[in-house]
Amino acid sequence: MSDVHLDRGTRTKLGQVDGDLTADRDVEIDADPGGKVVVSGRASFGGNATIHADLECRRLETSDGLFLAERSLTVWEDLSGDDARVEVRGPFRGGRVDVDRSLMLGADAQAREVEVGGTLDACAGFAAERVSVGGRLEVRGKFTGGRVEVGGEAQLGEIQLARLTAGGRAVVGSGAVSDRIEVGGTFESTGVLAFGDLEVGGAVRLAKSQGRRVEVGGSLRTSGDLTLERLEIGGVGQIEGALTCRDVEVGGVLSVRGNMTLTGKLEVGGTVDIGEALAAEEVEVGGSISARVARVQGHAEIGGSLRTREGFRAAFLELERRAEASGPIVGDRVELGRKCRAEAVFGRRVDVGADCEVGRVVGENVTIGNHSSVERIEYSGQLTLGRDVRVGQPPVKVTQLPAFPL
Amino acid sequence: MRAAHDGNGPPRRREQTDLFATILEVVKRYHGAARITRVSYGAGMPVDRLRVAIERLIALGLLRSSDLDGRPAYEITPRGQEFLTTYWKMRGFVALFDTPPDRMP
Repeated sequence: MSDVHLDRGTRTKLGQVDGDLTADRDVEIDADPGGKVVVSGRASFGGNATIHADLECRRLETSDGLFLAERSLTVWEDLSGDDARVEVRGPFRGGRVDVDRSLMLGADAQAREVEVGGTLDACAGFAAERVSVGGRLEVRGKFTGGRVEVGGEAQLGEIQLARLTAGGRAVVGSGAVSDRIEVGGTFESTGVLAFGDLEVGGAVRLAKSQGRRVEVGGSLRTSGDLTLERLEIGGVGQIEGALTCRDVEVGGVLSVRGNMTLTGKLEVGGTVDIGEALAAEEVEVGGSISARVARVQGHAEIGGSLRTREGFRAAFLELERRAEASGPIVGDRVELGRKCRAEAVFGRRVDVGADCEVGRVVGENVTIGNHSSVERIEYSGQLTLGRDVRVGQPPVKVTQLPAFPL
Repeated sequence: MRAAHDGNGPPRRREQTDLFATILEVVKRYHGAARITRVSYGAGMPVDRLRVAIERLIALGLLRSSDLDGRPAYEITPRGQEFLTTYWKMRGFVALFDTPPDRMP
């Protein structure tokens, strides 16, 4: 059968078409029982069309209405839907797909490249090298692909993607995004997710996850452990597990239920609360910090209060003016700014600023600032007391200092 | 993205800033080749209403228009991108402020 034309409203039975098929609007096409419709060239539909049989064609063009394939559809090259909705209820295979309004895929589907202006809804598995959706993308089955871009919202299940970009909101089940996830608004992963970089403008919720770099403008919450190279949060972070990372930078508040293990720097503008142990190379906290225990290899600078149950140790520990420490603080060098309060300070060199209140000081070389009060001082090297220093018990010079905590 | 949604509770009413952000996000996906009909499908807005919003966004310097095959196509400007970054960051904070105290970190 060579080129075929179907008039408006026709319902007809077709088999092999060696050429092009053109159809006016409101046509319906059947095949012989057990057979399929094969168009060697272009299949073109000028409006609503329903295909009751399996259809194969080289190119498919549809415009102004709903193109419904009730069974399978295979388009070897391009499928274009100009101001059209396309619905395929059976399996779909395509090359390049470009549909203006919506594309609905009822069974497993695969294509090379898919672009949809409005909504793409895939009810089963979906595979494509590149997907671009202006409005909403939903894939209920496993989604395997390369680069995926969505203007509005993406609702995905299990994924294996290279890159995912969404303007508004993206929710994924589990899987991996090898390169980058970029979401303007909110991103949520309900299962285990591995990713490269994750950059979200608003808020993020993750289950147990692993990635390279996370940058969140607003807030981050995880229900499990988080392993990263770098974490940057503009607002608030809440990790309901352990955090393992190189560097962490938080503008506001950070809460970690488990251990926080960093090989680099912890920098928090506000408050950080760690349920278990903190380990880091460097720590800078503008507000307060609390942990069961903290061990810092290098410099730690605390602006507000420092609370630990077992102690806080750093090579160089600085408490800024008016800071408060509960639990022992330990360092090679410990410096307390003016008007600080501390329970117990241990260090090779301890400098207590003016107007401080300290319970116990243990150090090789100890300096106590003017008007400070210290309950008890033990030292092995030199002790320098400022003016009007009040000492509860006479300072004791020892040949060997007691063992420091931690 | 027809209604603004934070992922916490029911969607709230979409305000003008939400509409602007929606439009800009859809335009952004087309990398300088966004046609008004495509943006209309993506943003879920009728073309006539969208046209007014786009003119406003161009006037504010958040979008720019160019001629592509004899028809206008739209592209987000650096200022538009700056607006989006700020908008989403603020939405993240607002969502946090709306969180009940017992669910706060």
